[in-house]
Amino acid sequence: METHLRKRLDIIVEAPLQRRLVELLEAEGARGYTVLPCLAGKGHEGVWQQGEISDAFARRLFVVIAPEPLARRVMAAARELLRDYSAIITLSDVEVIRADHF
Amino acid sequence: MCLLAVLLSGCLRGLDGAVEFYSYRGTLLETAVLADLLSLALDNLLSPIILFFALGFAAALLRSDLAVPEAFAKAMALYLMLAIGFKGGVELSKQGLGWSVAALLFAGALLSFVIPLIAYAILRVVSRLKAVDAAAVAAHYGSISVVTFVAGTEFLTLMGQRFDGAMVAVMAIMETPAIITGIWLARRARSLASSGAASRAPARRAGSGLVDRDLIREIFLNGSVVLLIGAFVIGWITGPRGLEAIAPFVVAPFKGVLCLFLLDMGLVAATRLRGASELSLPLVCFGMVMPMIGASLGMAAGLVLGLGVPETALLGILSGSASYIAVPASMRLALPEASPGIYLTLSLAITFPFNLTVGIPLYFTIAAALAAP
Repeated sequence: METHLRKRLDIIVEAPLQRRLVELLEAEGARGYTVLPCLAGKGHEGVWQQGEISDAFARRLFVVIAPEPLARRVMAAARELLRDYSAIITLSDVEVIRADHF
Repeated sequence: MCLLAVLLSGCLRGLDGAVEFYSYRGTLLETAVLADLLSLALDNLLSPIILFFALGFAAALLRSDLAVPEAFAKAMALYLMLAIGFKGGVELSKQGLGWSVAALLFAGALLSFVIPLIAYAILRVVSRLKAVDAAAVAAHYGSISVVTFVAGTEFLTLMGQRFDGAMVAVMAIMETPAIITGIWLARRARSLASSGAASRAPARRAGSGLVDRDLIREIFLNGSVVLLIGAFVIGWITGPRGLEAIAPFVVAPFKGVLCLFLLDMGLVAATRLRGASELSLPLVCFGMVMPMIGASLGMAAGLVLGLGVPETALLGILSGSASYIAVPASMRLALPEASPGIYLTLSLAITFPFNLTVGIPLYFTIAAALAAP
């Protein structure tokens, strides 16, 4: 089966920043993205979990699959947006089947 | 349970103080009224609401797997705000609007603006918190807790007191001004620090301007504010007939839902407390003293405005309560470097239980003593 190389950008952000990150993706011209809820975790700022009364400490995982130039552009812009916030941004190689979708 | 006993004795001590104050003032009749208040305050502690909170608290401390599903807890919070907003609007429609309501709203906004300044000053003196943490904590104490207010109104109902529906609008007004003060305090401290220590790091993004447009929208169109004010206006428009129509939804199940919600609050508060590594003794003391300072200011404003006993007590409860829903979300956006382990734990795990068990009966007793002729 023929596959095509793309980049996958994973961004874990705090829930209050979701809207801003969506705006950023739209502005940078990302053709698609997926937002997933995160259940619990531990990191630089200690243990956190979903289920606080406020949404302020829940996390969201953004998955963006794009050609490398776009992925790197989004990555740089996201870094700028999230500089003061707790966030994780990673970039990895993936293979996709439908090249025209990404 | 041990904690509950401590809180219980604290409550009795607080009321004892009020008894002394009262007997100082006077007559046997007043003392009799106060003994009555004391027993009602105990009734408050043994009400289902408080006991369910204690159950949740104990369950989380004992590491039970008891949990309220998150989406359901959020739905309950929406329900409580809808019901309290609506009923407040209906009450106001019976009384009509007047200048006194405008004065009350203004006083509420002013309290919310000013209380963070006091909280910040105290924190900077008694604790070693960084300026940004102190500012974030201060914002929480200027804002209000809807559930504390609701518990306060339940207590008033228990005492046979009816309160002015406009107090619900005052609550909605008091949610946000404190956020602005908190952000201002943090930005001011930051610019003072950077001008002092010849700015080495490049200016941070979040540091530009006081609040940007996004933040303004997020603060003022915060879901809880929109629902409270919206339900209030709907209640005001539809009046008693509207209430009659939806009473089976907003009146009858209210207390039961409140119990379940407080069970969840107990769970969350105790979980927070268990993981509270950042709280020092001065901070814990602050979490119990600051509500009393805020409440005193609120009740003083109530006296100046010539409010009745229940309204004065409610203004005290509002001023003494600390936010744990609207403000943390704003602080996360505006002051990301402030630690939630400090501000949220303090307001949720220390101040909320304090107000629920000790604060509400105490403020009411004081309001009754002050307003008594």
